Amino acid sequence: MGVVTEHRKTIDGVPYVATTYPAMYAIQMMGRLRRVAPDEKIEKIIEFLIHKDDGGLSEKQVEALFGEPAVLMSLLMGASKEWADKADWALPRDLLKHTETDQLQLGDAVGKGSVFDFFDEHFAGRLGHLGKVVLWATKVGFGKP
Amino acid sequence: MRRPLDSFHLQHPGASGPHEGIKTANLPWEVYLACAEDGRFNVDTYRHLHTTVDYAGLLDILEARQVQATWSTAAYVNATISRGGEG
Repeated sequence: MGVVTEHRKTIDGVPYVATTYPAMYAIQMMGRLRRVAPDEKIEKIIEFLIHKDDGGLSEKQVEALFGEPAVLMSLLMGASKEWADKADWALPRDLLKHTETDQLQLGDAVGKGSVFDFFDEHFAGRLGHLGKVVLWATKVGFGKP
Repeated sequence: MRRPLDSFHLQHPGASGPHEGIKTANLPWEVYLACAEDGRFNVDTYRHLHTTVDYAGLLDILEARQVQATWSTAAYVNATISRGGEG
Protein backbone atom coordinates (compact mmCIF):
# COMPACT_ATOMS: atom_id res chain seq x y z
CA MET A 1 0.00 0.00 0.00
CA GLY A 2 2.87 2.37 0.63
CA VAL A 3 2.01 3.62 4.10
CA VAL A 4 1.99 1.71 7.36
CA THR A 5 -1.37 -0.07 7.64
CA GLU A 6 -3.04 -2.26 10.25
CA HIS A 7 -4.10 -5.88 9.71
CA ARG A 8 -6.00 -8.33 11.92
CA LYS A 9 -6.06 -12.09 12.23
CA THR A 10 -7.21 -14.59 14.81
CA ILE A 11 -4.64 -17.37 15.32
CA ASP A 12 -5.49 -20.35 17.53
CA GLY A 13 -8.34 -18.29 18.99
CA VAL A 14 -6.15 -15.28 19.85
CA PRO A 15 -6.94 -12.05 17.96
CA TYR A 16 -3.84 -10.21 16.75
CA VAL A 17 -3.31 -6.77 15.23
CA ALA A 18 -0.12 -6.11 13.28
CA THR A 19 1.06 -3.28 11.06
CA THR A 20 3.34 -3.25 8.07
CA TYR A 21 6.91 -2.42 9.10
CA PRO A 22 8.09 1.15 8.51
CA ALA A 23 10.60 1.09 5.63
CA MET A 24 13.72 1.54 7.79
CA TYR A 25 12.65 -1.29 10.09
CA ALA A 26 11.82 -3.51 7.10
CA ILE A 27 15.33 -2.98 5.71
CA GLN A 28 16.87 -3.92 9.07
CA MET A 29 14.73 -7.05 9.33
CA MET A 30 15.55 -8.05 5.73
CA GLY A 31 19.24 -7.97 6.52
CA ARG A 32 18.80 -10.09 9.66
CA LEU A 33 16.52 -12.61 7.95
CA ARG A 34 19.02 -13.02 5.11
CA ARG A 35 21.75 -13.82 7.63
CA VAL A 36 19.64 -16.73 8.93
CA ALA A 37 18.83 -19.29 6.23
CA PRO A 38 21.05 -22.24 7.22
CA ASP A 39 19.35 -24.45 4.67
CA GLU A 40 17.38 -24.35 1.45
CA LYS A 41 13.95 -24.61 3.10
CA ILE A 42 14.47 -21.58 5.30
CA GLU A 43 15.98 -19.71 2.37
CA LYS A 44 12.73 -20.33 0.44
CA ILE A 45 10.58 -19.10 3.32
CA ILE A 46 12.66 -15.96 3.69
CA GLU A 47 12.58 -15.26 -0.03
CA PHE A 48 8.80 -15.64 0.08
CA LEU A 49 8.59 -13.21 2.98
CA ILE A 50 10.84 -10.48 1.71
CA HIS A 51 10.84 -10.86 -2.05
CA LYS A 52 8.71 -8.46 -4.04
CA ASP A 53 6.99 -11.33 -5.89
CA ASP A 54 6.04 -14.79 -4.63
CA GLY A 55 9.35 -16.46 -5.47
CA GLY A 56 7.56 -19.43 -7.00
CA LEU A 57 6.02 -20.68 -3.74
CA SER A 58 2.38 -20.63 -2.74
CA GLU A 59 1.35 -19.48 0.72
CA LYS A 60 0.27 -23.03 1.62
CA GLN A 61 3.67 -24.40 0.59
CA VAL A 62 5.40 -21.83 2.79
CA GLU A 63 3.15 -22.60 5.75
CA ALA A 64 3.81 -26.33 5.30
CA LEU A 65 7.57 -25.69 5.26
CA PHE A 66 7.30 -23.39 8.27
CA GLY A 67 5.37 -26.07 10.16
CA GLU A 68 8.22 -28.60 9.99
CA PRO A 69 9.70 -28.75 13.52
CA ALA A 70 13.35 -28.49 12.43
CA VAL A 71 12.65 -25.56 10.12
CA LEU A 72 10.54 -23.79 12.72
CA MET A 73 13.18 -24.20 15.41
CA SER A 74 15.98 -22.94 13.18
CA LEU A 75 14.08 -19.88 12.10
CA LEU A 76 12.75 -19.04 15.56
CA MET A 77 16.21 -19.40 17.05
CA GLY A 78 17.67 -17.10 14.41
CA ALA A 79 20.41 -19.60 13.63
CA SER A 80 23.13 -17.95 11.59
CA LYS A 81 24.33 -19.58 8.40
CA GLU A 82 27.84 -18.39 9.16
CA TRP A 83 28.51 -19.21 12.80
CA ALA A 84 26.26 -21.12 15.16
CA ASP A 85 27.50 -19.03 18.09
CA LYS A 86 26.28 -15.87 16.36
CA ALA A 87 22.63 -16.91 16.38
CA ASP A 88 20.25 -13.97 16.31
CA TRP A 89 18.27 -14.89 19.40
CA ALA A 90 16.27 -11.66 19.40
CA LEU A 91 15.04 -12.03 15.81
CA PRO A 92 11.62 -13.69 16.47
CA ARG A 93 10.79 -11.11 19.12
CA ASP A 94 11.91 -8.21 16.93
CA LEU A 95 9.78 -9.50 14.04
CA LEU A 96 6.80 -9.01 16.40
CA LYS A 97 7.65 -5.43 17.34
CA HIS A 98 4.50 -4.11 15.63
CA THR A 99 2.10 -6.83 16.83
CA GLU A 100 -0.47 -6.51 19.61
CA THR A 101 -3.35 -8.48 21.11
CA ASP A 102 -6.02 -7.89 23.74
CA GLN A 103 -5.55 -11.46 24.96
CA LEU A 104 -2.00 -11.40 26.27
CA GLN A 105 -1.31 -14.46 28.40
CA LEU A 106 0.42 -13.16 31.53
CA GLY A 107 0.55 -16.22 33.75
CA ASP A 108 -2.99 -16.69 35.05
CA ALA A 109 -4.03 -13.20 33.95
CA VAL A 110 -5.07 -11.90 30.55
CA GLY A 111 -3.89 -8.46 29.42
CA LYS A 112 -3.79 -6.17 26.44
CA GLY A 113 -0.76 -4.81 24.66
CA SER A 114 2.36 -5.54 22.66
CA VAL A 115 3.49 -9.15 22.28
CA PHE A 116 6.98 -7.66 21.83
CA ASP A 117 6.87 -6.27 25.37
CA PHE A 118 5.46 -9.47 26.90
CA PHE A 119 7.09 -11.96 24.55
CA ASP A 120 8.36 -14.46 27.15
CA GLU A 121 5.16 -14.56 29.19
CA HIS A 122 2.75 -14.65 26.25
CA PHE A 123 4.48 -17.40 24.29
CA ALA A 124 5.69 -19.52 27.21
CA GLY A 125 5.13 -23.18 26.30
CA ARG A 126 3.49 -22.31 22.98
CA LEU A 127 6.22 -22.66 20.40
CA GLY A 128 3.89 -23.81 17.63
CA HIS A 129 1.65 -20.81 18.22
CA LEU A 130 4.69 -18.52 18.23
CA GLY A 131 5.69 -19.90 14.83
CA LYS A 132 2.27 -19.13 13.34
CA VAL A 133 2.23 -15.62 14.76
CA VAL A 134 5.78 -14.85 13.62
CA LEU A 135 5.00 -16.08 10.10
CA TRP A 136 1.83 -13.98 9.84
CA ALA A 137 3.28 -10.85 11.46
CA THR A 138 6.35 -11.02 9.23
CA LYS A 139 4.19 -11.38 6.12
CA VAL A 140 2.16 -8.37 7.25
CA GLY A 141 5.36 -6.50 8.09
CA PHE A 142 6.66 -6.86 4.55
CA GLY A 143 3.27 -6.01 3.03
CA LYS A 144 2.04 -9.53 2.24
CA PRO A 145 -0.92 -10.04 4.62
CA MET B 1 2.83 -7.60 -6.72
CA ARG B 2 4.82 -4.67 -8.06
CA ARG B 3 5.30 -4.32 -11.80
CA PRO B 4 8.95 -3.82 -12.73
CA LEU B 5 9.95 -0.51 -14.23
CA ASP B 6 12.14 -1.28 -17.25
CA SER B 7 14.70 1.41 -16.61
CA PHE B 8 14.56 1.18 -12.84
CA HIS B 9 17.97 0.66 -11.32
CA LEU B 10 19.79 1.86 -8.26
CA GLN B 11 22.86 3.44 -9.76
CA HIS B 12 25.25 5.89 -8.22
CA PRO B 13 24.83 9.23 -10.10
CA GLY B 14 28.56 9.40 -10.79
CA ALA B 15 28.97 5.77 -11.76
CA SER B 16 29.32 6.60 -15.46
CA GLY B 17 32.46 8.74 -14.96
CA PRO B 18 35.86 8.41 -13.29
CA HIS B 19 34.85 10.36 -10.15
CA GLU B 20 32.28 8.77 -7.89
CA GLY B 21 32.58 10.47 -4.52
CA ILE B 22 32.12 8.47 -1.35
CA LYS B 23 29.42 5.85 -0.90
CA THR B 24 27.11 5.54 2.08
CA ALA B 25 28.59 3.35 4.81
CA ASN B 26 25.74 3.09 7.31
CA LEU B 27 22.70 4.43 5.50
CA PRO B 28 20.96 1.96 3.16
CA TRP B 29 21.51 3.16 -0.39
CA GLU B 30 17.80 3.11 -1.30
CA VAL B 31 17.06 5.31 1.73
CA TYR B 32 19.68 7.81 0.65
CA LEU B 33 18.21 7.91 -2.89
CA ALA B 34 14.72 8.47 -1.50
CA CYS B 35 15.83 11.32 0.77
CA ALA B 36 18.34 13.13 -1.47
CA GLU B 37 16.83 16.14 -3.24
CA ASP B 38 18.83 18.55 -5.39
CA GLY B 39 21.97 18.15 -3.33
CA ARG B 40 20.14 18.26 -0.02
CA PHE B 41 18.97 15.55 2.36
CA ASN B 42 15.25 15.67 3.14
CA VAL B 43 14.98 14.93 6.86
CA ASP B 44 11.17 14.84 6.72
CA THR B 45 11.30 11.96 4.21
CA TYR B 46 13.89 10.25 6.40
CA ARG B 47 11.61 10.61 9.42
CA HIS B 48 8.62 9.22 7.52
CA LEU B 49 10.63 6.17 6.48
CA HIS B 50 10.98 5.43 10.20
CA THR B 51 7.31 5.91 11.01
CA THR B 52 4.64 6.07 8.32
CA VAL B 53 6.07 4.87 4.99
CA ASP B 54 6.48 1.11 4.54
CA TYR B 55 8.89 -0.71 2.23
CA ALA B 56 6.44 -0.64 -0.71
CA GLY B 57 6.17 3.11 -0.18
CA LEU B 58 9.94 3.44 -0.31
CA LEU B 59 9.95 1.60 -3.65
CA ASP B 60 7.18 3.95 -4.86
CA ILE B 61 9.31 6.96 -3.95
CA LEU B 62 12.31 5.53 -5.80
CA GLU B 63 10.17 4.75 -8.85
CA ALA B 64 8.70 8.26 -8.86
CA ARG B 65 12.18 9.76 -8.68
CA GLN B 66 13.40 7.59 -11.51
CA VAL B 67 10.44 8.56 -13.69
CA GLN B 68 10.85 12.25 -12.82
CA ALA B 69 14.53 12.07 -13.77
CA THR B 70 13.66 10.68 -17.21
CA TRP B 71 11.18 13.51 -17.73
CA SER B 72 13.81 16.10 -16.85
CA THR B 73 16.28 14.46 -19.22
CA ALA B 74 13.67 14.26 -21.98
CA ALA B 75 12.76 17.94 -21.55
CA TYR B 76 16.46 18.92 -21.71
CA VAL B 77 17.06 16.84 -24.84
CA ASN B 78 13.89 18.16 -26.49
CA ALA B 79 14.94 21.74 -25.77
CA THR B 80 18.38 21.03 -27.23
CA ILE B 81 16.80 19.60 -30.40
CA SER B 82 14.42 22.56 -30.77
CA ARG B 83 17.43 24.89 -30.63
CA GLY B 84 18.94 23.01 -33.56
CA GLY B 85 21.31 20.84 -31.58
CA GLU B 86 21.60 17.09 -31.66
CA GLY B 87 19.46 15.12 -29.19
